Amino acid sequence: MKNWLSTLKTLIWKDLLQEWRSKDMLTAMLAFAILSIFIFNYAMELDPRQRAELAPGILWVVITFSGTLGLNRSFVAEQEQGSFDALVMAVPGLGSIWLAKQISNFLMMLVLIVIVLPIYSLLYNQNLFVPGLILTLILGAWSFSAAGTLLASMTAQTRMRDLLLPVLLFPILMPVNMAVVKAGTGIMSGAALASYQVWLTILLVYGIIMTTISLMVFDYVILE
Amino acid sequence: MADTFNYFVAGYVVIFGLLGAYIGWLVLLNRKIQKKISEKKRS
Amino acid sequence: MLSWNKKLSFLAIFSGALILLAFGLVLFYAPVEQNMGVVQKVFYFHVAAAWLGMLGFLVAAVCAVLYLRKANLKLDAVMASSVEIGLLFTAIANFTGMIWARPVWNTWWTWDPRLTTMTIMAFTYIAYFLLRRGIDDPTKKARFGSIYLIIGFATVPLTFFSARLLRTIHPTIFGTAGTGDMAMTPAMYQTMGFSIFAFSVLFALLLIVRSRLRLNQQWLEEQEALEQEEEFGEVANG
Repeated sequence: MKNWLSTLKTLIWKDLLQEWRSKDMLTAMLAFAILSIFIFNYAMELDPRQRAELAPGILWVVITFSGTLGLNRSFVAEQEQGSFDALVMAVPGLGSIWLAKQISNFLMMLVLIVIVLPIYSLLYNQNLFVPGLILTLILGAWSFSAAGTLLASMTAQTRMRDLLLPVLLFPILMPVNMAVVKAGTGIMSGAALASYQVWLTILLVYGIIMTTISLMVFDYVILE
Repeated sequence: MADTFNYFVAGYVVIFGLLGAYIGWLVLLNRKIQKKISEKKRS
Repeated sequence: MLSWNKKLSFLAIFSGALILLAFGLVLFYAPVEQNMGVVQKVFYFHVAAAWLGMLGFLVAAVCAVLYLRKANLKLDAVMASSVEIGLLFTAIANFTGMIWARPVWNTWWTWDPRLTTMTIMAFTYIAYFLLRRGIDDPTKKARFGSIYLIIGFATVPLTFFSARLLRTIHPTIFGTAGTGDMAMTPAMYQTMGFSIFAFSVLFALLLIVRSRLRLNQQWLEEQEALEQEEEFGEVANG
């Protein structure tokens, strides 16, 4: 067990280190996210109250699109350098490869959220630092990276790569989209927990189902 | 109530149209493949 | 190498007859619904198409699981054909749903949970074909396709549950007459049941024919690949 955990930590550390050195993923994601927030401001000239209601939805759209950019990059190193084979030989138990990728993608999205949330709050003059909203976004990010990592590992091996991932991912992600926006809106409007609790449950269930399926199925992605 | 008849007609035109188009496409595809197979068998 | 035979002809004629019979029932046997008028009759084939659309995806998902257990390209042929036909029936269900909704509820699109879920599923299965297109190797194509089908199918219950939570203006079929609700008489139930049966037979026919077509295509591709190898061999040696 200890061996497995340390392997996992090493793999995660490898991905994070790679990203820290190049800062490819993060810069692209951040630039895209901040620009999108600006665009949304001009696209939707609303009064403050309407803006407040729409905030979780807009925020989640921005996070989803930026997250997709990041996902596209996450397997590029493996693809270009052919490290898949090296990883398979070096690591006992393929599940940890996937889990490590998923956790590092998830952490990437957390960084994104941590930076986007204050910027959004500033630009729209709205306090988004509500614990419920943050929890919702974290759960959403976990579900997103669970589904996204598995699909990205497949699209990285196809001809069309970047173009294909959104097409594959977004239909699958529908329950997450609905749940995050509905829960977020409920939280921001101060409604009682009981009214939006079911959405949080849906998020949790989705994350568990995706993670489980991915662990079962990942062998077939890497091995011939 | 009378003008829902047009929608009724439209609905069944769509149904049989789509089914017919798909079956037609299958027939054409089949012909193309049978031709290729008989060419292969001859050579 | 698989060609048309007598059994298929029989099935085709049987299927065609059933569909015509069902249409006859719709036209002459089923009564005209009091609230909605004649357009309600579209509903019989609409429901049948919707059910068969779901069945197509279920068959594909089962094939996907079986394929991962034991790689057999015949399963892949059935899988892809089932998704294709499922898409066809889903398209029929969606369009007839819109045509039915327009005069009855004065809107083209109702964010009805069932229709919404089916549309999202349709997008998933179109994406499935795009994924297949991006991969050249047949076994990899089948393998990745299967994985995506399994994921796609696993999200359907959650998608439906979420969509239903969000909104409902689909009529409750089995209820008493009300505003926009349908009053179902026994004749209507029978017509609906028979339509579903007729469509099921049609689905089976289309699935068999399409799968055989795909297997023939696979065989052709294998032959061409073999020929190319021979050519290379000659060029290299000669």
